[in-house]
Amino acid sequence: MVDNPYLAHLKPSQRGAPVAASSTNSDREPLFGFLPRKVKGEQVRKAMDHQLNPFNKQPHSAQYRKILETRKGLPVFSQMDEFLEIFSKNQIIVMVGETGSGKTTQIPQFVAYSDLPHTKGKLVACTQPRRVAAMSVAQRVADEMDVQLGKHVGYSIRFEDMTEPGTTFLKYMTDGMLLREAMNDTELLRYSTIILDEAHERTLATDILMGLLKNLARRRLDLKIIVMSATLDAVKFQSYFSLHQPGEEPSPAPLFKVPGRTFPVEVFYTQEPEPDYVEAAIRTVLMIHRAEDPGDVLLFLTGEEEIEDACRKIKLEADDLINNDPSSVGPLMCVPLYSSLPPQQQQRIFEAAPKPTQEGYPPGRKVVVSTNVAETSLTIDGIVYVVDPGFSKQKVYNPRIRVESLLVSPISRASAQQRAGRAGRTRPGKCFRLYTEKDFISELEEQTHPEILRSNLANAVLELAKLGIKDLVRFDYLDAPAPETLMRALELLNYLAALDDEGELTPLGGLMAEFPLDPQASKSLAKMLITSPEFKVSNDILTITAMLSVPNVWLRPPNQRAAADQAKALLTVPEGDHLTLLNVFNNYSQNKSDRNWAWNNFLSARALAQAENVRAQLLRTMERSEIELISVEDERKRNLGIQKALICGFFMQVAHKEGEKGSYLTVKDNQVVGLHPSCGLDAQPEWVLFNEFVLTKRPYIRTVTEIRPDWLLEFAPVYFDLSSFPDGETKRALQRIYNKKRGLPENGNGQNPPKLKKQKQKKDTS
Amino acid sequence: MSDEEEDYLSNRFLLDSERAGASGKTYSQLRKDAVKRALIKNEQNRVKSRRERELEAREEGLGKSLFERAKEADEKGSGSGNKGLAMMLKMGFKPGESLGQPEDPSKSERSLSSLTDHASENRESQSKSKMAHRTEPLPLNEWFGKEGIGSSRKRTISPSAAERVAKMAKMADDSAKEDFRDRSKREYEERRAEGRLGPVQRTCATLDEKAGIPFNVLWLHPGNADTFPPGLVEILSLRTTLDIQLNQEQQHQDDDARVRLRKQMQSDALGPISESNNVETSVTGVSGAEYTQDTLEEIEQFLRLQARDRLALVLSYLRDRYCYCFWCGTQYEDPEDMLGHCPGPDEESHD
Repeated sequence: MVDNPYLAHLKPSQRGAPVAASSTNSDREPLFGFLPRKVKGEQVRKAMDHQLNPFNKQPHSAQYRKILETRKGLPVFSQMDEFLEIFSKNQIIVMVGETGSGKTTQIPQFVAYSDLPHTKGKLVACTQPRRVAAMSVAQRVADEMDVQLGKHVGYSIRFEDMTEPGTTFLKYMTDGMLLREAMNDTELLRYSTIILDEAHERTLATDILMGLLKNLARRRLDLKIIVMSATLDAVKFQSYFSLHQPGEEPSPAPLFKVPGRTFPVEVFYTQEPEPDYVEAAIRTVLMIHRAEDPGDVLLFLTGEEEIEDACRKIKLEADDLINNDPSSVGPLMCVPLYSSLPPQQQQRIFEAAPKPTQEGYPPGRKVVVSTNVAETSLTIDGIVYVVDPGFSKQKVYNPRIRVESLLVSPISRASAQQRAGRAGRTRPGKCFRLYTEKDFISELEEQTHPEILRSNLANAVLELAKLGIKDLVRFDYLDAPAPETLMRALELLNYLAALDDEGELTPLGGLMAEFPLDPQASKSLAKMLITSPEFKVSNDILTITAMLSVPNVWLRPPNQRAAADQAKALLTVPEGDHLTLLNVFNNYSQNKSDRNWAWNNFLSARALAQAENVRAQLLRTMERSEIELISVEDERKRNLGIQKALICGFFMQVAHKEGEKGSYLTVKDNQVVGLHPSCGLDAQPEWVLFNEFVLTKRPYIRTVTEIRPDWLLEFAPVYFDLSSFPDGETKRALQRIYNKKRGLPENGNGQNPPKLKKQKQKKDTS
Repeated sequence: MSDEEEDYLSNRFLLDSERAGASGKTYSQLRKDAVKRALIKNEQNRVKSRRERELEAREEGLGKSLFERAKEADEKGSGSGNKGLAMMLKMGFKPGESLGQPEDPSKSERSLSSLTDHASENRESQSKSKMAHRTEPLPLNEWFGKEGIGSSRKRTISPSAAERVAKMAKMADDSAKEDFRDRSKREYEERRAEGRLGPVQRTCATLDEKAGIPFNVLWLHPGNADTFPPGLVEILSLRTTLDIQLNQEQQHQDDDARVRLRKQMQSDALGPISESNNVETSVTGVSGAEYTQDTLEEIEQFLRLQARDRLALVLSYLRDRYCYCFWCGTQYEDPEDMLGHCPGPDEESHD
């Protein structure tokens, strides 16, 4: 392994000479006569039918031939000539292909045949918004090309690099990974073509990549870019990527369009708005079950609770129908689907619909009740009916009160179309929209807001700074975020000392950007990790960081809530949830021999394994950055150290208790918040630090740990500079502590601070 | 008890009443005013619930932009100013503007117009979004309850037919669950409501006709065939088992949950939108008046209700739509006027 994997490509390639120049004849060389980027469809088809695999020179397997036949049936395959021509002539292409067109698997292969990256020691990259997609598509394409995954075709996702430098020439990767690579190789020199897939999903990373690539295309004329989208509104991409030749009119990027392979979906609307969409959804599902031809149903609802509730009601009503009339109503299987569901239960959506109860009776039906994960990321075969109440839970960050909201809101028209499309994957289907057509047009927004408008940008800004983008105000955004969001991001990074007052990246900031943390996880984590050796707790902070970067580890199955809560109580550390997470991980490590430990303690084995992996990766980064790994034996000292290290990263996320009823005020923004029900604190300490401020049904702070206010003044004096505080109870409380610290009278009543306690604290810090 | 709230026998009231005499107010009006004032005061002094405080804090926080806050802090001379803002200003940001590259409108228009295919259909929305990068963060919109899309706005004016149907269904449901012991009380109330219903419905019909409404489900009285427009009875008898004259007895058979569910499902069967306009099954009465399936469904539901519930529906319709209180016998200027002067929506408050 080379020190910096991103620079591995700079090593001289073994396969430098272009194949076209080689003297072998076309029998031994399938790519004989291929001129890079001037390849015709005829040539490619011939090479694909060749005896030998052009890339590893092995004879093609029978499996290859079989897959090739099915590939030939894909809509995109019949347009290969057209694609290759456009590809030869243009630097940037916008491509539109609906679901089932085969664009994700085929286009990168076409590009590989035309671009011949392996002859130049370059790569073709194809980005995916999701890790799972990157992995599974890479596997599929490796099979299609008859090569081993990780050799000629590979994938690269956070914490997993399945490529072989020098051999891999087609790489599927998450958009976030490409962005990370760009931080170390701003020209992206190792790539000859970059394909941004699923651009319509408008993830934060894809949006930023589009801005970078648009700019890069002007400097690197040899770099080809393909933007692929599944929706028809490619105009926006086309005009964004229009070419501005000096002295010429800008012309929009050319469009390459492939029809999807979907069946028609008949769309129905209600005549009147529904007074209760859940009720209406249940009714509609039952109506379908009674009156429609066989075929599975997909119902979209918003969250776990709503989904479980609806499943229960549908089952009850359906049982009723069957009992009353078993000869005309078939059995019904109702399966919930949401991301926090344990994997083995998620698998149930792939089970077949139940058999008829008796011979000659109507066949059974499967009903999947899902959040919008089934809208894009997951395809369930056999769905013929879609019920769409028109809602989803959306994450929206608001910079004014620094809250991440997760609220139920109406979906967009684009999203509704996507949902409807799910009914037409296997045969003509029907989509029932539980709103009127008029409201579809007038009430729903055209597009879902891209992630860049809905996210906290602190990490993106740090990455851009690392990429050398200085002017974030005039950066060429496809959709520019709100100025206040940028302001908050810069402010946070400045307080964390990642950016100096001029907006320049500091060495500390550069180090923080190195940490391969989830883009959604706060950069405060990186800061905390880097400062943790000061408190001799870097080992523990490393664990906590890993635990905070993975999905929720706690399982709470609907029918075993009490047992799950009991198990959780046993692992809970009363001083704070961060310490609890540490405790969970340590217990997990100690019980590695017991395979059922996680299961018995209602913990997600998958999330814990992931945390272990993240921890190992972070450890490598720490070693590379020469951050010491220390831990303290004494538990009390350790906990104090952890609490202090937490403050170094999260001092901006502090809340102060107000009143008696367990409500807190967030510092500076003065938002009234409560402790999240999952919080394990046994009392209500006056000052707490939190990992997240979320707005769901109520405003909550989540993952909370008790802290001492004097630490705030000690470790974050700039942020807790009293003159910058809005007046209020929090400021008065801080003033008292400040006075106490300085030995001033606490409340003006002349009492001296208890000296003993203060000295004791000093000892801890030293 | 606060010192400010005086005993009603205190001198101040007597003095007030003298003064009021001059202003032409009666004693009872004064009393009403005083009660109102006390209510307002109570509202102000009440300890707010946490939920209210959460909302208030959120609204306050969301209502003020960070630029405004930075400006205020500057004016107060506190702190060292906002570092984030300072950096942005250095990058050339002007408060009030959006981020991103300044777009030359003519240019983008030209580039768009040269596009083929969907260009024309998407142009408008496209150029709009191109022009307007955001200057403000996305608002946090909370969707209250489980209402479907499109329903929330209508509710503020008057309940839509769909909601009324739902409400009626709930009423029917509630009465089915009723305790046996309540029956005699209910029967008494039923008879009383039955008696009131006639005049109330006549008032409703008069007001509706004045407003130019040709037909309203709420006019119908199962005991009085005159309230049915010609032909409606026949249409109804064709489609339901409901006997208009004898609805009391029929009621319980139909309440069987299974039948109700099926009926509801039939009526809710969604029609394809392309056909909905022409195929929508409408029945033409003898008189030529048309009733849609929905209206018929509503009529059926309405007639199946208890007299008491029907009375409540008509009364609340009068209040919501016409600001008319049957018990006061007064039509008020607006909802505020009604809130101020009508003692309450039910008969008891008018004793």
